[in-house]
Amino acid sequence: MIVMFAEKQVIEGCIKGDRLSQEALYNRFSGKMLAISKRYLKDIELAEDAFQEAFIKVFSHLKNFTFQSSLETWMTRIFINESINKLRSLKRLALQVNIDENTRQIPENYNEAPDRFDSELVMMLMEKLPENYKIVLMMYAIDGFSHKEIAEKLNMPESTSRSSLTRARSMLWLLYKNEIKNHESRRI
Amino acid sequence: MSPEEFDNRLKSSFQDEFVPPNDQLWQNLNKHLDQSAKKPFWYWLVPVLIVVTAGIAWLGSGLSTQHNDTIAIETSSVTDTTIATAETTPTSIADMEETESNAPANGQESSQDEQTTVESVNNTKPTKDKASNPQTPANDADVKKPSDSRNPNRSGTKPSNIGNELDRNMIGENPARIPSRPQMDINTPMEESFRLALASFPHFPARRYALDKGNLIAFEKTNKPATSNTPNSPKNKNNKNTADFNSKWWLNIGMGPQLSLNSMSIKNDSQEYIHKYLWEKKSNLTHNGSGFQAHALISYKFNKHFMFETGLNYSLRTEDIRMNESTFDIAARDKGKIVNYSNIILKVIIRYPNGDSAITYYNAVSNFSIAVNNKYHIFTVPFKFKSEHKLSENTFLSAGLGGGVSMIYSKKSSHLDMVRETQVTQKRTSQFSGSLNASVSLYTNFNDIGQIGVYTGFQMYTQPWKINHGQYAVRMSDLQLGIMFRKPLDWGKK
Repeated sequence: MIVMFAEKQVIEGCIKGDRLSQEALYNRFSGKMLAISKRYLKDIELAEDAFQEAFIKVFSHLKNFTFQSSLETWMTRIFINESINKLRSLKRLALQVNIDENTRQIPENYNEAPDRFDSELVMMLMEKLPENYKIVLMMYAIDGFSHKEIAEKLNMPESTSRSSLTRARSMLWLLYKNEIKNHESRRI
Repeated sequence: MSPEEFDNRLKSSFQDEFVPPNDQLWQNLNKHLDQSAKKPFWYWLVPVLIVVTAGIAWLGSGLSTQHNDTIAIETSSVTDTTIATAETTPTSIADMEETESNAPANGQESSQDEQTTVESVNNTKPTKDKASNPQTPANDADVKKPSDSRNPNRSGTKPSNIGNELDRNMIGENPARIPSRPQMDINTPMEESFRLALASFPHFPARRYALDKGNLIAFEKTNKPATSNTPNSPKNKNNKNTADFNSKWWLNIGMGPQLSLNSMSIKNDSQEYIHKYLWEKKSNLTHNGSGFQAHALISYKFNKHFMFETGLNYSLRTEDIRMNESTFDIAARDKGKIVNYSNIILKVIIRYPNGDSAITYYNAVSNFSIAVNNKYHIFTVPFKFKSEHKLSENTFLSAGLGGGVSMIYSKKSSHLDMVRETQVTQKRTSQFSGSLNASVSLYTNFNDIGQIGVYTGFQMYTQPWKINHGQYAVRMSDLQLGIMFRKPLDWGKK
């Protein structure tokens, strides 16, 4: 028997506490959401902790979901919030604010950017960025948060969010270009 | 290229990011969801039990206080009537004589003494103690005052005659003689003083006597020492409203909700291990339900602490036992034998003409419904041995253990056999089973007519309830909670 789980039916089932619907929701989004948690937290154990806590929040707050956005977008926000809370509890964010102030500006030039980045390489390079740069870049560029939302969540002025984004983007692009050049030179 | 374009390209690179979760993550989450689903019942049960227990304890202490008041007033009634009845003991007669000798002196202060009487009546505990020991000097003093105040105009010899006359009338067997005697001399002031006193004690049982009978003759019945009136030995056994708390036979009735606990008995599964879910997560198959239960039992007290109870206990499981489950674990069979389980998720990517794409996931799921729509009536004849302990003057705790014989009856039950894919309906099925029970009750004396309280009990049925012609079996037990009333019976008495 093959059953299609439409989003609305699954949500209604989860609200009623139906385990089948909860498992369906989990199966549908767990891979994507764990990837998000891991992207923010790097460490897989921390990511799994945040992932479980976020899923518990999803199940308990699904009744508040208003269908004004897609379920995936709504869940993504919850998982990112949980990951940021985890980061904050580890004080990794606060530590990196000082690094932010000491980082120099890198000029922007994105003309050679590829149509599609190698996501694994990008993730590896992002780890070389200061933590708050990385978080701001991921929140803004990948997950679609506005500067106002980033400023609220990371407890920083909007201007800091903007400048962090600019620097992070430039640094990442510079690192990416260097990595590609090195890779090509190794091939030659 | 603008920074925005750079961001978009970066975003599209992460569109398909996916990290397969460890199986343990869902197990942990599943366990957490199980716990949170079970929370509500226990969350409300525990506070309710605490509140009810506290209420019973408070009620018990409240009744205890009222009894003290009652004893005090009744004591004063005995004290006063003692003067009139002049009990047959030499001590009482001596007291009477002493009273008479003091009468002329006290007679001049009659109005003050009358007030003193009322005050002494309201002074509860000392009055009781004094009445119980007439030889105590303080007691003598209290005894004298009411006698003096009752008829200040009497001469020194009159009270003695009146006392002797009343004594004869009251000790005499014929109550009809009592109204014929002149009452005004004695009753009018006495009654007045008592009404004043009783106004302070609205729950005093004797007030009923006074109002019913209209005069103090009603107190003649209370001619034994007031100190014998403990809460467990009612003041007036002849009164219809009071019960003999020392009775050996009691009626115990109660009712309340119950939690029906169920578990699957795999051993009785003729299609053993047909579904992975069945034997890996059998606790998920059987759901606990709610229900109603009531009992009417007769207790026989062997002695102060032990009793035997039997009667009829009825349980109704008002919620169906649901054993419908679905699983993503699809059994892969080889010649009918399950060799493996698969979790099948179909990912369908739809490409639209404008270049957009939509991804839809389809989960392959296997259903199995073992039993649905069940409702049981259970009639049990229990045999319980209970031990009763006194917590306070009026509050008791009893605990019991026992067994019983139960008949489980189901009017209609439906079962979906997933192996043969047929639905089986069973009608009017019944089964006898032994049962084991344990209970704890907390109760308090209630208004001299019985005892009220709360109880909780656990009843387990020894034979699993066989479903679908023995294909499966459910082990059943009931966790019961309710309010109870116990009333002493006058069996074996004239």
